[in-house]
Formats: sequence, structure tokens, C-alpha cells
Amino acid sequence: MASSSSSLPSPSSSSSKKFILRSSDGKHFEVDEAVALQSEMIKQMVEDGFGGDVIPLLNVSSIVLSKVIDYCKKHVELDFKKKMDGDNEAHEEIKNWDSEYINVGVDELYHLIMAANYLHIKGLLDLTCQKVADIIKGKQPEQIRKIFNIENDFTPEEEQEIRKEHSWAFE
Amino acid sequence: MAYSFPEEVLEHVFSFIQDDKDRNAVSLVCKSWYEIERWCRRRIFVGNCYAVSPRIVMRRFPELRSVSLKGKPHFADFNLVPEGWGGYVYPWISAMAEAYPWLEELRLKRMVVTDEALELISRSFKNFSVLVLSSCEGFTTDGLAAIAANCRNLRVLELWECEVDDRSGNWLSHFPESCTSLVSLSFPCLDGEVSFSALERLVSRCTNLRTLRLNNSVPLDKLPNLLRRAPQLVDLGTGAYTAELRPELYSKLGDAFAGCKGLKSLSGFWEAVPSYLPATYSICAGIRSLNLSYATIQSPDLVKLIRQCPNLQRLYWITLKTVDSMPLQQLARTFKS
Repeated sequence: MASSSSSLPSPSSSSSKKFILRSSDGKHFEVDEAVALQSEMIKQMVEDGFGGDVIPLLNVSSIVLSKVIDYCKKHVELDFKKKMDGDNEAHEEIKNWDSEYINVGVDELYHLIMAANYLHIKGLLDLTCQKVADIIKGKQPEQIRKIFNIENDFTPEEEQEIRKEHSWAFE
Repeated sequence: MAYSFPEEVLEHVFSFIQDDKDRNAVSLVCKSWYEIERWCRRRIFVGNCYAVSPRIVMRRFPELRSVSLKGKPHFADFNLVPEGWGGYVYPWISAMAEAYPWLEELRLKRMVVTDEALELISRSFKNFSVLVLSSCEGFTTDGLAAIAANCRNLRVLELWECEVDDRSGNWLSHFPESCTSLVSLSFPCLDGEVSFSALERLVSRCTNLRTLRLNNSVPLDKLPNLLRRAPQLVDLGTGAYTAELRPELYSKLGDAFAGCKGLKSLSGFWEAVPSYLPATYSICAGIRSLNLSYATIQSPDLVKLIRQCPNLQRLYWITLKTVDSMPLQQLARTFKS
């Protein structure tokens, strides 16, 4: 993804209003209004009368932001297609595209979640959280800790107590 | 690096994890996951109602919406558990009435459920919508009447193999006229007659009803009327399915079935008269599940029926008599999938 606004490919709706997003490492991304407004946070800023030229996104690096923009662009395009071609076909295409898109490592997934959460992009948050859930499913606590590098802060006695409760009552 | 997800993100992640084992694993990862998980757990399954006290459950999971409880051990099904063994649900209900005013679902198995408990259920939970009782005992149709009268959002009422003291078929008329929310109504284990006019009115106004499993006392000549009022049914338990052969009833029944194009599952047929079985043929192509566990259908008639069901995926059939299994073996060959 390009880091300067001039080399960004112009989408089909070129006449629409543009927004410039600035990543935490200072790179600029020019996007269509519809793409930027996929973010509820940006939408809220605009509705609240934000008048600047550049929207600073202090929590999102350029690498992550460009990936987030990919998502928003594709979904604007697919939403449009859904309206034109009807639900079924577009639905299938969205599903396939999403599953390809989210096929990433844990590190990238984590940063996408944090960005989706910060920017309030519901579709992307659902997609990424579902992916984390899918990773967790069928795993033992030890495996989950290892994957997400989480420290076990239970004492052995506390852990034993909870395990006992599970095996007695909740399985 | 350690991936420290914000609390609201973890809640969102956990909302995609339904399986009890997975939820239990999540709660053992670390203390903060344990805390977040317990606050957003909406459903639990307690495999033995004496393995944990209601108090402990409520302390750990303060926001439950759905509770499944099991009482007596499995061999209670064979009368091997002495009278008065326990498995009383009342202490649970009275504790939950305090702790979970937003409880929506209760699924109870092999428990003693009194009318008092049903009454308390019907009055304690504002959004109560699902009650499933399997192999439960200790209650009467009066308790069911309380559920019908007071649970304004009831979607599912299912009674499976319960011992119910059938005092009055009138319990169905306690559903208020404003009740239109039922999606599933099943009472195959009741002995007595139900009020047909109340049943017909209820079925007509619940336009989302998908599952209707009748008991043995619903006569065949009532079935066409019920089916005409619920063409959207997916799952039907037919009742006794017996009557003297009358051409006009046969044709009414055939027309009524033909109107239920969405039917995927059939059961009941307790005293099925074979001559009436072809009335179902018009919808058999859509049937996926055929439960004839309690049906009195002999194998030649069964074979004829099954031959009409090319998309059948499940067949339940129990027979006590020695039957000629040849026709079934032949049939098995045609249903390789």
C-alpha cells in the first residue's frame, strides 16, 4: 500500500469527497468518504463537526491502517454490489473475501482487532473476534496461554479448585 | 509480546464461543479472563443438581439467561431410583427467582417439578420464553396452566416423557388471546384430552409455530383443521392417527397435508391406521426425519411410507414383535446415503 496520497489508486466513485487519514507513524492515506465512514469513530468525528484536513489516528500504524483500509474499501464495494446484484451472490463473495483476508498470524490479528476496536468498524471487529474465538475453540487453557502469550496468574490451588468445579458441575 | 485484549474485546470474542468445554477452558487461562468470562456467561449446563449449590452458581455467573439442570441419574428411567431420592427443582427456582430476573430458558431433565415450582417460574422471570421438561415428574396440568397464563413471551413449551397428573385438558385455554409467540408446542406425554377449540385458536394465532407435537388423545379428524391453520409447520407429531375409514376425512387430511409444504419431520402415529398413511405422501418428499418409535406400523406399511421419502436422513423405529425384516433390508439397499 502506498504511503503518499498521490499514488493511491482512485476508486470508481472518484467524484466523491476525500478524507486523509494519518497513521501513528505519520503516513498519509487518502480515502473516499464512504470508505472512511465505515469507521463509526470517524463518522462520529465528522458528525461532531471535525473540520481539519487530516484525521490523525494515533493508535494505528501505517502497516495496520493500510490493511484496515483494504477491508473498508472492499466492503464499500461489496455493499454496493449487494444493492445492485441482490443478496445471495454478494453474500457468498463477501464470505470468501473475508475468510481469505483474515487468514493471518496471531500478531497481525491482534493489531487488526485493536484497530477495529479503536476505529469502531463493526464488521471488522466481528470478523477478527470470530477468528480469535475459532483459534480458542477445542484448545486447552495451556495452549491458549501459549498462543496469546498470557501468563497464568492462578495459584496451583486456585486452578485446581476451578477445574474441580468444572468437572463436577459444568461439563 | 503478551496480547492483552481490552475487556470489551474479550467479551465480544467469548460471545462467539458457546460450547461449555471451551468456555471452561477460557475461564482457566488467567484471572482476568476468568472474571470477564463469568460475567458474560449466559448459559450453563449443570449435569448433576447436587454437584453444585445454586448459591455457588449464582455467585460465579451473575448474568445467566439459560439454565439446563439434570437431576436423577440415567437409571431412573428404568425405575431403579427409589421414591423420594430427590432431584427437586424448587430450591433452584426459588434461588434463581432472586438472582436471575432476566432468565429466559430452563431445560430440566429427570427432576421433580412441582406445580408450585411451575407457578414460581411463571411469575418470576419477565422474559421467560423456553421451558423444556424431559423425564420430569411431580406436576399436574394446573402447573402448565400457570405457565400458559403468565409467561407472556413463551416461545417453546416441550414436555418429553414426563409423568404428568392430567387434571384438565383446559390448561391450553389459559394461554391469553394475546399470546402469539409460540414456536414450539409439544406435549406427546400427556394422557388426557386437550381442549381442541383452545388448541385450534392457539395454533391459528401463533403464526411462527414450527413444531407441534400432539398427544395420543388428539383424534385424527381434528388433525386437518389444525394443519390448515398452521401451513408453516416444520415438525409435526400427529397424535393417534386413527379413525374409521371415511373417504371425506381421507381427502380432507390429504389436502391439509398438501398445504404444509415445509414439513421436514413427522412423528406420532401411535395407533396409525395404514389406510390413512398415504394422505401424507404429498409432503413425504420433503421429510428428513421420521420418528415411529411409538407407532404401531407394520413393516410392509412402513416400507411403503419410507419409499415416499427419498430425502429421509433419520428413521426411528422400535418393534416388539418379531417381524419379517426382509422388506427393510431391501429398503436399506436403496438408502445407501
